[in-house]
Amino acid sequence: MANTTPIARSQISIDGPTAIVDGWEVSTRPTSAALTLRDESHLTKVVVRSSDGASVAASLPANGTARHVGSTLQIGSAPSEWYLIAKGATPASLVEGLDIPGTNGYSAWTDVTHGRALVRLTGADSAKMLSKLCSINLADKVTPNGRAFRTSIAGVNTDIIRDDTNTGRSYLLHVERSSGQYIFDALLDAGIEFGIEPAGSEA
Amino acid sequence: MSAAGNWRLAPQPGEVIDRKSKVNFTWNGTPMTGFAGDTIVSALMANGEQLMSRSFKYHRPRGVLTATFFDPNCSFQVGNEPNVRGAHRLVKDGDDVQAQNVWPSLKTDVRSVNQALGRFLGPGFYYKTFIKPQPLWPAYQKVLSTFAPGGKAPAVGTAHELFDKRYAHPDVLVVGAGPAGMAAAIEAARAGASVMLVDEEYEIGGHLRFGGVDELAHLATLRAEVASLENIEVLTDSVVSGRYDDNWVGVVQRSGVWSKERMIKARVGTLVVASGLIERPYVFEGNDLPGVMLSTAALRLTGLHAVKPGTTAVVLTANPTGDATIERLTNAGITIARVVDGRKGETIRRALGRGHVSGVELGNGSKVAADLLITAVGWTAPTSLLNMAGDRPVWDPSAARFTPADDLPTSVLATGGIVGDGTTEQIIEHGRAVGAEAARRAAGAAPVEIPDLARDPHPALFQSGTVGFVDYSEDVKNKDVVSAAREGYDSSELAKRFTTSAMGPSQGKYEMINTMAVLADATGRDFQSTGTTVWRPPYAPISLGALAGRSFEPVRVSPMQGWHEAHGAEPLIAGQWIRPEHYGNPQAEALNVRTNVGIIDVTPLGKFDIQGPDTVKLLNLVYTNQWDNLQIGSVRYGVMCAEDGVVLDDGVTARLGEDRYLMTVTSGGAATVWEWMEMWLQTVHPDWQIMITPVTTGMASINIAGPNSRELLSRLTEIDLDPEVFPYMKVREGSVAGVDNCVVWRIGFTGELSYEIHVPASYALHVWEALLENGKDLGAAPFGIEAQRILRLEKGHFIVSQDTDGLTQAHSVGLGPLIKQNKEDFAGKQELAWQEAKDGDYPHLVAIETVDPSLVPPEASQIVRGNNEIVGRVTSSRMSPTLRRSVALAQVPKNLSTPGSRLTIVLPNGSRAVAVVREDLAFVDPEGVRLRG
Repeated sequence: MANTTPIARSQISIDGPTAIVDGWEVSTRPTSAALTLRDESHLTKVVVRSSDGASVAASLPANGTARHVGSTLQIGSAPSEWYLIAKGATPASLVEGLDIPGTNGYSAWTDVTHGRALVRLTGADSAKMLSKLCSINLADKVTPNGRAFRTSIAGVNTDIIRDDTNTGRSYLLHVERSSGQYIFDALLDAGIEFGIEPAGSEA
Repeated sequence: MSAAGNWRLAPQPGEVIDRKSKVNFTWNGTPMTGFAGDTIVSALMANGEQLMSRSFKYHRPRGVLTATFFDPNCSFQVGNEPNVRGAHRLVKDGDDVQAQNVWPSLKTDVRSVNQALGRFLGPGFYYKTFIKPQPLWPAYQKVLSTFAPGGKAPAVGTAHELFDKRYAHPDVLVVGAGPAGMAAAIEAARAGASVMLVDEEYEIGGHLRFGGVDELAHLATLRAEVASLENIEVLTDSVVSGRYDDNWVGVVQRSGVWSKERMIKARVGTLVVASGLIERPYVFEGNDLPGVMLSTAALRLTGLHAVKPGTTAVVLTANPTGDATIERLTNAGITIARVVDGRKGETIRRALGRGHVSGVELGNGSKVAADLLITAVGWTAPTSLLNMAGDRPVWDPSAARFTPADDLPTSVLATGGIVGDGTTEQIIEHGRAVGAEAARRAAGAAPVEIPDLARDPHPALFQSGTVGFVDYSEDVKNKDVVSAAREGYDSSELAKRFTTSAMGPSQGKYEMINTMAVLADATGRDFQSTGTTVWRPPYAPISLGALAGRSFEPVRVSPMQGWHEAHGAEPLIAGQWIRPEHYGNPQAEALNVRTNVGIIDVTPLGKFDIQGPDTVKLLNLVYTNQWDNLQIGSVRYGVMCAEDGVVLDDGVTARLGEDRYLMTVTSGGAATVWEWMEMWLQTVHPDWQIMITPVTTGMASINIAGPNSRELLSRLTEIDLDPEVFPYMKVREGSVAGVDNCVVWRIGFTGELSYEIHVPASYALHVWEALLENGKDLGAAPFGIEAQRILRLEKGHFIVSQDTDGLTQAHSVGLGPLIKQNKEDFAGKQELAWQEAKDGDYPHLVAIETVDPSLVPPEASQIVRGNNEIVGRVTSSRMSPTLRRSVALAQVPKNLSTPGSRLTIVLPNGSRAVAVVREDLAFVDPEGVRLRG
């Protein structure tokens, strides 16, 4: 059998330096731009689905909200559907302690690490920029930090989480992997007037 | 007229030009200069140019009338851009400005001969004149089209500019940034509302900008307040194009953005209409001569651009703005030859001169020499947005203008001149109250008291009694409106359409009230009962580019797309997917699969991770065949039918664990199948314990096909590939090329020994490259979709929606053995039972061979019998590199489906070809020896 070393690669390509981190080729492109777009597709991602009223729901956030539990971001992305996202974790570790398949109702989880492209848009102008691509009201009173919603971005079904960082307003967006480069390019294009730059995840 | 001399005034306190920044441009080829901040029109006037255009129908000379965006006489060709609003567009260095629709020149326009034919060109003349004889209409049309107004559209292929789109959700949107609008925005923002303040001009301030010392002081104060409030977004050179249900408001940004124009789709809490007033022209003979202009035009030109509009003026005034204009002109060194006070019943009869005003005949018959005639006779309330909100404005005869009725929805308010008059302080006070109330309504807080803003009395001055133009854009005179009324077009809507008054580029802003006044006079009705036409969106013209906005065309690609592109793949667009159709020679690619080994990227195959103890129930429901006995490690082919028995999709499903399955469906059918299964689960069987997760792009898919495929795969995996251990239609999980969690199943679409690998997508490129690298000595090469189509056709596999259509039920494609009527239920069961009972009397999919083996009948070619009766069609056809002859599938009726039947195929050139029905669908390896090997 051939001796080969697999490298995981995101669907999104960013010009500039790269590094291998946890078996993934990731961008290390530095930037000092006020508005940045990072590819975070290498984060571990799990989707949990359950029947209505299943016991697993008690341990997860309500639909339309997101919260950090330890190093895991838990997202109530749809009725009886949650995404769990963390860096460098195994898929199974993200669902440890959750009542799956469930003492009441039924639930199941699937590793979608390789099936979802995940990007992070950060900067004070991020809401203005997004408003060029989606019709959701991004005002604080409607979509505050910790709000999750699903909408169309540049014509692609997209999950968005308002997940502010210590550098300010920030949105996580994830789409089907196959649309990753398209959505990344569409976001960069919309952000030109705000001086957006792609940034390496490990920069 | 071009007049020598210095037409630029000394610096004015409110001027917007930058005298340190010169701008060079050409006017009809003549070099000229202006200053940054000049409009095209102000720059031309500063160069002594007064003649701006020729009119639409009579080609009469025209000059500046309003000095605004909507000036009906100031549309130009700038470079390759037609119909540029020259009284609004700022002149730029290098601009090539040309007059439109003139020949041979603006000064000497041959078509001005139309003036002599005016009596024959009355309203509706083209309806009457060219109606007969009807066959000549195309000739008329050709000639008439040469008279069409406007500039020249860019040539086909000219690079277009970028247009943009944006969504917004302001609590309060204020239309118009005059004193009332600015005050409303400020107060709404202070109340905590997010505010969007929109104005057509390049700067906020409204009429304060070209006012006197007091107005400029108010302007500075209000601007500073606006600038200090972060929650006010100011959009200048922007126009609110319309108000729709639920306060959906369109805003077109014309500049100040990185694209040429941007359409903003705003969902507004409270809409505040502070659009001010539009000064109304006066109808009298010669009212369209260059040198006749509105008082606000003179104030703009002198105050903002420091341009002298004339040297000796007659001023017809009926309001304070007219009075202020007299003072401004005097200060500018312009001689005031006569003041005609409309409030005292004084009037003018006609403007004298040819090509430009040379004098004015007053109401008493006396004549005054002048090159400038200013009129200040009243105002039009631009109620368009209020109309669009459902308001039906009321005519106030004492103020001689319409005013909003008390029937506005709670989400719409009005302030400023559109409501009433007053001192600047009173207008600001009203605006502040309305702004606070707007914020309250948006937030649901306590009501705010809004002071009254009374309207000042104003004489109703519309026409002098002589014949003048009511519509400058369309060359419609007051006598034309009278004529229309006489012919029975006496309602406002009919008169408008018959005369085309108010249908030009100004869209009635200067024309509508005068037209209706003339109509009221002609019909003997009062103004309120005459009314106006309904104001509909858009308020201002919108470019098609702005409406189109950004164009989004999502695409989907596999992890290997970059590799495909780098290796010369011809792209195939399949829905949103971009796939490699071939790498240069699909026939060779197909042969390589038959003789060596090929690999194909089949990532777009729809894939679902299905978990749950009730999964078998779902499989039995959506597939026609039996799933009770599928063992772990096995794969089964199945066909899905809709409830009418029509083939919906097909694919294979593998059982990976006790309650875990992986289903694949067609690439094009993935979304439909997901919805189909969720529909059953959510509406019919919500009690079933099943979770479905699409993993189409989470798992990239690679098919390895050909006699060397086992050898190739064995070099990269520890999975035991011995055919006794891993036979046809089985599935294994393991690592491939060092990548864990791969799913490998032994199936194929090509008829060859095949393995389909589903790889965690992030590692797919690694696996793809490893297969090619390790298979060099085995002849491993990529093949594309076209080669796959050839191979599957050689094998006789049908493709759903290629060889089937929206009427093809399962028995028609030979699926009888897979339809298990003994199951309790499945989608399409009853319909398929009825189809089976027809004893074969339905279309059949058959394999056919043309008698001429070199002839490939095009897909969709009709199959006929007798006297061209269409009885079937060719569904798939290719030249087979394996058999070196054409191969095809066709749908035919029962009596032509038996082996040996001869078919007549109609070719595109009308000739006929003969084909024979084969025994078996498969042309190659009908026994399946190769794929089971």
